Amino acid sequence: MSACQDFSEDLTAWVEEQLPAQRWEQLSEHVTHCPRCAAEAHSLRAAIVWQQRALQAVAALDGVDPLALKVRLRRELRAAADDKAPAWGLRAVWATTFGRFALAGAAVSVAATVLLLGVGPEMVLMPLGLEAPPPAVVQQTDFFKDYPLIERLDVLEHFDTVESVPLDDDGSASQHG
Amino acid sequence: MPLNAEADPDVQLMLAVQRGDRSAFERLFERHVRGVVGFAAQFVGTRARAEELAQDVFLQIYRARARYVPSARFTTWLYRMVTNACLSEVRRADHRYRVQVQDRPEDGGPGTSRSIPEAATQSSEDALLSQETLGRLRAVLAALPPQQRAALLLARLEGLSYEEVATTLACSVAAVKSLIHRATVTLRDRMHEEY
Repeated sequence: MSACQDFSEDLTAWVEEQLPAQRWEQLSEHVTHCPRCAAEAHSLRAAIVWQQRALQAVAALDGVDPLALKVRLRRELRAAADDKAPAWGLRAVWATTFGRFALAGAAVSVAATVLLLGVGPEMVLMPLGLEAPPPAVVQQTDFFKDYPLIERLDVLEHFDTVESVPLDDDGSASQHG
Repeated sequence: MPLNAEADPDVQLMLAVQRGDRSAFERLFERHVRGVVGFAAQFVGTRARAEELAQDVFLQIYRARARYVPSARFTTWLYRMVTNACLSEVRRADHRYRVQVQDRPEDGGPGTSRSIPEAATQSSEDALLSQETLGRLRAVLAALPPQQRAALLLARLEGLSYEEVATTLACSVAAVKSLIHRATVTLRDRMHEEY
């Protein structure tokens, strides 16, 4: 590759003084001694000056009205702020697609529980703490204690052995049975 | 170019925007919107679309204000967003480069049409740059590969250094050097009779 070829792609950057110092020095040295590259550099310099002027003219659009654009921008910003306005509680949940599905699912579950158990809504609401229990329950909580024996009835096979599980004095399942 | 944030008033304004100063954002908008629209118009071909792109970019800037880090000049950051928006626009399958500016009725004229070169000539004090010349320049610009066009406009129009152009286009300085050289030579060879 000749020196001219080696330098040709850098000539524009050389004219615009955008090369690293060492490379710029190399090209300066070459251009001083090479009439062809000197002529090309001269031509590029004239082209760059013309292009700067012409491109400024092309881009200088008289019709651009910053004030009108600013009014539009303010409108956009207001709209964006409204979109981002925080919602709280159920509104916030309802605002998302997932939240809507979740709330609808929860409502269906509650309704199904009430229907399947054949009980009143208070049986669902009381365990959730959303409704107070009847006075009798409040006054005699021992009647409603969850004994270990009863806890063991949550699996069907335990029905066969339920009578063989002895209780300790305190009502808990015996550890040595 | 090492950043001197103190020396760049735009960076100071952007930091004020970050602190919640909406008026600082409006000042930034006023300072740069003309340049952004002028730059974008070279890509999208219509002033109306260029204005929409400018709006979108400034909205993006406002939304991204919390993440702003002054690691470069503000204009480098700004034109990175603008260039990305423009390059996305020209890559869209339905994009067709249009030389005519179609002013929408709400922009002032009922469907009136005028060419960008004409608008440019109105603002140009240089009578030597005729409408015809600027029209041809626009056509040559439009025919450049988008990356070359972006690099050339950033350097010649916005005055960015090669290093800043490289940051803006997310490529190497060597690549920018090549892009600008090729664009410069193409424009020179096709417009050489003009100067």
